Amino acid sequence: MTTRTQQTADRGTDQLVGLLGVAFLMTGITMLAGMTMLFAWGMSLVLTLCLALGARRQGRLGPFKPWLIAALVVWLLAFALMHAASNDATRLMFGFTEATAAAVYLLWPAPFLLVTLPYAFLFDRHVLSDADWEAIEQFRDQKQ
Amino acid sequence: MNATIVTIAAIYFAGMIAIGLWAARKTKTSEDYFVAGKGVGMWAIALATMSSAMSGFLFIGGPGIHYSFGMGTLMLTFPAAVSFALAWYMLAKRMRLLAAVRPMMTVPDAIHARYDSNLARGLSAIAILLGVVGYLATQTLAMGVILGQIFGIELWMGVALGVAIVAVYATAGGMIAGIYTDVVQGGIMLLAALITAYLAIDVGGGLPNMTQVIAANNPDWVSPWGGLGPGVVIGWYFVFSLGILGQPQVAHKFYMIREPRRMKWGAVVAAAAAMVTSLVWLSVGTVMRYLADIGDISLASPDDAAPLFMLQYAPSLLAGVFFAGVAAASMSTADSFLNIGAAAFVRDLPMAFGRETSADFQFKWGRIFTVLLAVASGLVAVFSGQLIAILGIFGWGTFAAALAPALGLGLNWARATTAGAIASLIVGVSLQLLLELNNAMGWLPELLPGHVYRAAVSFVASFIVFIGVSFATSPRNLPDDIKAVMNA
Repeated sequence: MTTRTQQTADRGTDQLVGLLGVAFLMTGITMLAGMTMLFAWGMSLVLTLCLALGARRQGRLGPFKPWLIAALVVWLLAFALMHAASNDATRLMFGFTEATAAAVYLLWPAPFLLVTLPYAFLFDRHVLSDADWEAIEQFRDQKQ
Repeated sequence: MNATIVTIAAIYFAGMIAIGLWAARKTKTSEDYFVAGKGVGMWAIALATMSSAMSGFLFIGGPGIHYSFGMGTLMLTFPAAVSFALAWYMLAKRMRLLAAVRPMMTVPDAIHARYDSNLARGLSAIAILLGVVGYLATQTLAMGVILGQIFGIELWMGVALGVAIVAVYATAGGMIAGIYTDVVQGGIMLLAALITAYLAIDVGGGLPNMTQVIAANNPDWVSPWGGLGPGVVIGWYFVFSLGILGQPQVAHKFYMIREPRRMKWGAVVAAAAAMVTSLVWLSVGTVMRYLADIGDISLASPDDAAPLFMLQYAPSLLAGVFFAGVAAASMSTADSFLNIGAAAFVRDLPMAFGRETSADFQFKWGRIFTVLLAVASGLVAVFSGQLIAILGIFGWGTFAAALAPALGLGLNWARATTAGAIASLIVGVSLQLLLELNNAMGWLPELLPGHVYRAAVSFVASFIVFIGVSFATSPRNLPDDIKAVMNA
């Protein structure tokens, strides 16, 4: 990577972390104020931004971008449903009240499908290729 | 306790000691002792990470609080679906590549490599020791309780037996024994959880039946927040997902991966195993609440929920596997922390004071400190009375607040500064201590509103301080090898 590209990538990371700082601040304030829906949404944004920070390579999210956007949308939706859906035990959805079903059938498995699985599938393309590892090995050999 | 349960438990313990003795023959250097010679395969790393992260609380305390407070407690287990991914996205590659270019054995080594600061290394070692004391004491007590139930012996004898078994295999075989016993223990936990969950739902006549009966008595119990309210429950989800970035028993395992290119499936295996294991929490807690509501059982303590269910409703063979699974969960967490605690004493703290210790010194004294820590945790478990409840609170939350920003963000953000790391370490640990000790000791009126999970406050504050101070101070020029690791 050229110095110029690296500088652009670093600036992008600084902006991402700046946004993460603001998200943490808003999450902390809404948590203390007892604004639980906003707290949950702020936390969802924090989690997504952290994943984005870990997934970035050379300033790009690459193929992770749609997956992380989808994960954020599902988190926001799941917490909204948990707040707003019915808790009437006469209207059950697969054994749980509708609000609890949003937690069990959406909040629980969705991050596994949208965040954890893509890491494995996109690893070779975007996380660590053979060439990346060889470059680190060369670095180590030079040091020795 | 019946003969089948005792026999299964005895076979399991003999197996653990056998693994320890096998590993002892492979353990010849301090690198073998503390990081399993950096030669562990993907499946073993994934299962060991899962089993050391999921303690005995999953099998005993979890169903107990689920029985008491309802569905909201699931938010302590649901983070597993994303927490392992966070660890792999943010830590796995960086930690493994660090271990390729520098001699890494502990989490404070990574902190030192990233920030070139002995103070940051020392503070992270102190934070780790605080958490280790809490984790070890509670896991040792849990081992004592469960062994006491299995063999019908007194608590102190159960503690002594548990400490002896873990100390033998952890001292003899170091992290090689720790990893491979964790793999077996993870397998037992999975098997026990899966069969127990099926049985529990069957005993309760299915989830719809249990939900309707419980809701008739207590509608809050079946809501997604249970009897706790959304503030606390969302705080749990937050700290137990992102907080994994500060857990040394998870982070240092990435040094041990033999082939970095094969680590891609690790998060999937660890998360899937943790999610399946969590079923025991949901199913046993729910069926015991249902059985209590229809008048079939009465519990003296919520922590009796899972043992009583196994003894009254499960076949002896399954009960034996379950009790072995509980002991396995406690032991797999305890052995990791014995190793991490010993490394803090013989490597991290001396190096923080600028004193290099030789590999031979670390190997020899690492074993001695493993034994000393095991014995000390046993004594604390038996004799400390209320102190153990206080020590128990310095676990996950302390690691999360102290280490997650410096490690998780720091390895992914070149602009992060040494001052930011030191400030967040100090704020994270001190705020966590202040809030939790004040709550336990009642020195001052409660400092936070009732809807707030205390660890979430120190956690958020630590991140904000880390980011704010890093932006306000000048970053150092990173060495080429660290730059290469962070840009990879």
